[in-house]
Amino acid sequence: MLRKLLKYDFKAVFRYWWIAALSSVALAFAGGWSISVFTSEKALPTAVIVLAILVAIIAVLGVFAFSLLTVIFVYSRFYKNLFTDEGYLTFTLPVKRSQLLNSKLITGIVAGSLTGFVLLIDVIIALCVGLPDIFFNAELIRSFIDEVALEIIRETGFYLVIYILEALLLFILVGIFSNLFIFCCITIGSIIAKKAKIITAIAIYYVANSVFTFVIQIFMLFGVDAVTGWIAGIEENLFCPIFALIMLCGILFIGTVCTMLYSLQYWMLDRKLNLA
Amino acid sequence: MNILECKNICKSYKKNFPVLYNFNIEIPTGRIVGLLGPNGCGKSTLMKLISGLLQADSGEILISGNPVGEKSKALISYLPERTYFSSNMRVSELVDYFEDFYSDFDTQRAYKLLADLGIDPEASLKALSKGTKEKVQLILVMSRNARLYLLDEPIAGVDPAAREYILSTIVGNYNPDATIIITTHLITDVEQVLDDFVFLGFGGRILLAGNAEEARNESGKSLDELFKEVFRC
Repeated sequence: MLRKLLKYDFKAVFRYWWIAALSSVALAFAGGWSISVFTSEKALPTAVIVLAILVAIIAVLGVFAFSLLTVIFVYSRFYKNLFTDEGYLTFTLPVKRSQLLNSKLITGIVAGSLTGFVLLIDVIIALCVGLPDIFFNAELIRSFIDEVALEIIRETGFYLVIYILEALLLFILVGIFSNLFIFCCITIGSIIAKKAKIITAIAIYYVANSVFTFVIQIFMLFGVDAVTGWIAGIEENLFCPIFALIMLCGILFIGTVCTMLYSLQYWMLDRKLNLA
Repeated sequence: MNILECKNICKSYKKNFPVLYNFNIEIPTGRIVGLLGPNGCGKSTLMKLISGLLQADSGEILISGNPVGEKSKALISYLPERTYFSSNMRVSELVDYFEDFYSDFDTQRAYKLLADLGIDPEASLKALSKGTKEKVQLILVMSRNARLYLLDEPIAGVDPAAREYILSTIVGNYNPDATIIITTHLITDVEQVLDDFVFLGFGGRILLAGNAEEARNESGKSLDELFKEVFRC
């Protein structure tokens, strides 16, 4: 049943997503042309420069709009499918609550990852078109590989593989966390508000986000000095394993928060749902 | 065997204001039951509890011996009093949706009923009138070979000709071994198809219940007249 739920969630979210993605790629080419105008050594007419500025602004706004549209597609699907009249059909399907939630979560993570991938492609396209001399400079690429990449491999050794795996896991967990966080805000907004549910959800998001940011800033204020002092005192040969351990602690922390958010979300869908 | 058993069901939306309080009922298989009562007496709440849209505060609901969950939802075909499908879909996509999730869905029957009404399966749901959307919804619900059909106000807000069509669709297309529970205010239209009736008062109290034909013969009154007598303001 999860596969069937995913089929319809994907259909709904990606129905217009691919148009926005293609548009952002087209705008990346335009943005690349703007970069080439700005970095050109030739004296170009003012009209061309003004046009390049306008195109650059449109390209940046277009790429931003594409990211925003992905957010809108994912979370409007979550809201409409569960908390509007569509919920009368969704919640009476012969599926488990966890399958409903997992389908929405997987769709959100896939949409976010694909959007990130397209944005990366956009940047590469813009740089290829705008700065071909730098981007396709074999000498520059070779020196980057020698000076930076090989140096990292020499310093970290086997731990590089561990760092990459931990980074991947962290990436997935952060994706799960961001989706669950917004799902919870939407769910709480839908439960407590009779009208203006979306506005309530947005308000809850900003309050919760502000509290979270405040806590992080307190840590940064008092914790960073202590942590950096401690790190400075570590012996060089212990730095790699300790860094891997710190990343693991981060993974466990985010994993715990994700578990708590998932449990809260599941409980609200199971016990607190009241479609009017 | 009973298709539905509700034991000591309690449900309230606000503290000290129970919509259902110690509600008990047993409904056998193969019956068309009218659940009748004034606004706010708990009819729709009961439907939502049985279909799994709401959780009871206490008590137990069993559908063919199964508690409310994945298994019971596969046995129930629920028609709420509002349109519940995404307007971005076409009629044929909705048929595919039901076919995907419900193993008892009869696709041929659904397309036959759509053709009878002249509804184009490739039509967008956005383009259909309110009445046509309700008919599409009813067709999808009645195209399932479910064990229990829950129809919440199926004929409210439609014209008399459409009401007749809806009632004939209900009676003509349901699984005869199944049970249908209908809630409505339009008792005159519905009572001709009912086998049994339940008059539900506030707090979920059952004020009168029984066989519809027997009640009419004993009282010499129609169910509509009995209803007015029981619920006189």
